[in-house]
Amino acid sequence: MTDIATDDFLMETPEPAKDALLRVDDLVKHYPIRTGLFRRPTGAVQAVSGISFEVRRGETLGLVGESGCGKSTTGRVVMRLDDATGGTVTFDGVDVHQARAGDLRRLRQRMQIVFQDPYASLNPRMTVQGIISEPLRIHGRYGDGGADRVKELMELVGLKPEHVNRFPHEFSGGQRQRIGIARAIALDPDLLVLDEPVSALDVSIQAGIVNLLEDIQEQFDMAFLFIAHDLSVVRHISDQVAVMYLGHIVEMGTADDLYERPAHPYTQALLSAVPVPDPRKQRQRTRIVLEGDPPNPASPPSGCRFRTRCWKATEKCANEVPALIDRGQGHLSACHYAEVQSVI
Amino acid sequence: MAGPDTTGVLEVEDRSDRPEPGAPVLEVRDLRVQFPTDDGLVTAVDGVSFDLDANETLGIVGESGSGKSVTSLAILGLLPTSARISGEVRFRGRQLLGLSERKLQPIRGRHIAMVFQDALAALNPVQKVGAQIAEAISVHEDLSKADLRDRVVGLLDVVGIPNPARRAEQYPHEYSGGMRQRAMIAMSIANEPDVLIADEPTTALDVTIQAQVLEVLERIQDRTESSIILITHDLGVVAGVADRVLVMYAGRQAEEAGVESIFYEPRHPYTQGLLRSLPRIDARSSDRLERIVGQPPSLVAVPPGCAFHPRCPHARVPGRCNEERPELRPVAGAAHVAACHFAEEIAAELEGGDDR
Repeated sequence: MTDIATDDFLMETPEPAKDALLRVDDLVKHYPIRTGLFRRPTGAVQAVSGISFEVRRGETLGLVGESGCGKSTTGRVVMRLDDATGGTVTFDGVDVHQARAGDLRRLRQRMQIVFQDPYASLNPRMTVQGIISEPLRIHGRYGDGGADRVKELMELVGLKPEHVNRFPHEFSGGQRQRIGIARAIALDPDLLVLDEPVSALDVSIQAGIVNLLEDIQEQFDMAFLFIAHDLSVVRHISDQVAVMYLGHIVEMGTADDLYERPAHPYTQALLSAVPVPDPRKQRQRTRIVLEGDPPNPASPPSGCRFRTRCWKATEKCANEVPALIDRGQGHLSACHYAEVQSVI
Repeated sequence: MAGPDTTGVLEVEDRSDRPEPGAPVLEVRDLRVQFPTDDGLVTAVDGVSFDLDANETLGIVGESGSGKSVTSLAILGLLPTSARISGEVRFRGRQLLGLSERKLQPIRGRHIAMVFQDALAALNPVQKVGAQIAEAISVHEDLSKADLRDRVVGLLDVVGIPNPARRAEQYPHEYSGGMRQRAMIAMSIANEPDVLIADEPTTALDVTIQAQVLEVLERIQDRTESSIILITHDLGVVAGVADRVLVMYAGRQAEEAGVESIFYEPRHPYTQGLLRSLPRIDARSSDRLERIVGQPPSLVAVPPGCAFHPRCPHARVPGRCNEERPELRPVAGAAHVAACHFAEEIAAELEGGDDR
């Protein structure tokens, strides 16, 4: 309140903290591995191993990581499309995984998901009218002015309302993703989980979808959990970003802070590997090339899970799981030897 | 020199005598590929021409349906027989289009090799990786078993596969995605080809693995002095590795120039739009992305005149843009060509708007 000068120096006045709409606490999701004649569980793929984060109202949390890091599983468990093995998911004060039929129905109207593949996630035998009105019907909200609502939604997402009787195959990939978004926002939810919503689209189409999502967020004060492997898109759309590696969050902070001042070696390697569309700059950058591949999530390394590929790893890393805490960089990182290194 | 060859002039062994230094290794002239479909004849590649110099990396950029992959398959003679192909593809002066399978065989894999996007589909699942690489070598070269084995292990080592001797004895499914891609690169460089065509070699891979694979490609080029055609939709990858860039749209060349010209002084509105629509990892997120309106055309119904005109913010319609197909022509020095009627005017406009 008094440090106006410092705030000016930081260029951005910190916004008043909004309350958390979604809270994920120590979430664990294991998938059993069954072998043998009797399909006995003999182990577990530890897809998500105790992660915590929150998504504030009207804000976007970007969840990034490479394949197998657990980001999509997190999205599914948050939506309760999968059960959690441990931990809690709280949406606006309600425990999502304990909610019973009636409560769950109410919750489901307020949290929706958009999937990556606009080809697979729309029923090919339903018209756009049928697809977009489905959530309205299921929740008994089609009766009063449903048809008008569908047209309104189509306009909102940039589709021509006169195409309402067409089938998904008559649309391009970008348009299909717009249909998926229209369906997801039909009930005016407070939270959208977006699982790789633009990665199947051509470059020239991506920007339109990203802009649409930003417009929707602003207009309806919607919160997004934006799951993606494309670090450039995530930086663009996110307020907060969490980086996952092998079922753990290794670093989390505001988008600009995390991208400009990464402190975890994995984040640094990840960011340094993303090519920049600027030849002079790109050729001057030093790529941190990691050795090998991520370990098997059925038997993750002890201690820090990144240590087998980390150039900083010591004995301590094998013995002690580094906590996700602020280590003096202004955001959270899970590395015993966290140290800011700019790599972009 | 011109015209189809009568006899096998270019036999397997005469690869070392490189004709006039400085001559392009590969010349593509007015390449056109059409496929008959239920909706009529589809022109997937429509008059593409370019040169590939020795030890050069040419990036071919485009979205789905732009014709970039079909171009590469045409060069290697890998298109289905239903495809109608015309134009010229000259490798060291020798026309490859229309060559019989028997005459292409000694060139393909030995002089011009390909790295595909999907390594799992490109590798034989029931043959050990080492044996597959050995086969790629022994098609063109007669080596003793021990020498062959050494070569294979050496190649796996070059592409950064740990424990190459042990890994050679494994099957593709025992490899991770990044390792499979590297194994395929090992196979394609097995005969130290003059030209390596890499079609989206890193698209299916995570960024940290992509970085490994790109590093392998660079290392190999340094070692073998081969030329690379890198086909991709990722402008960041191109910025990092290409010397020259060819931008394709709807089967045609929109623009071609040195990598810096393409990124810093793009002259075709499509290239300009593409670059502006990219979210960047090195940019603060407050700016809105500038999208290109509409979508890439279907090849069954390519717009008349300039194929990009329905999406172009500068299009003069009705007018030249929808009436006359723009020729590829020099727009900023001889080495920078673009197919836009108004490239110079647009450049002047943009510049005028920039320095206020």
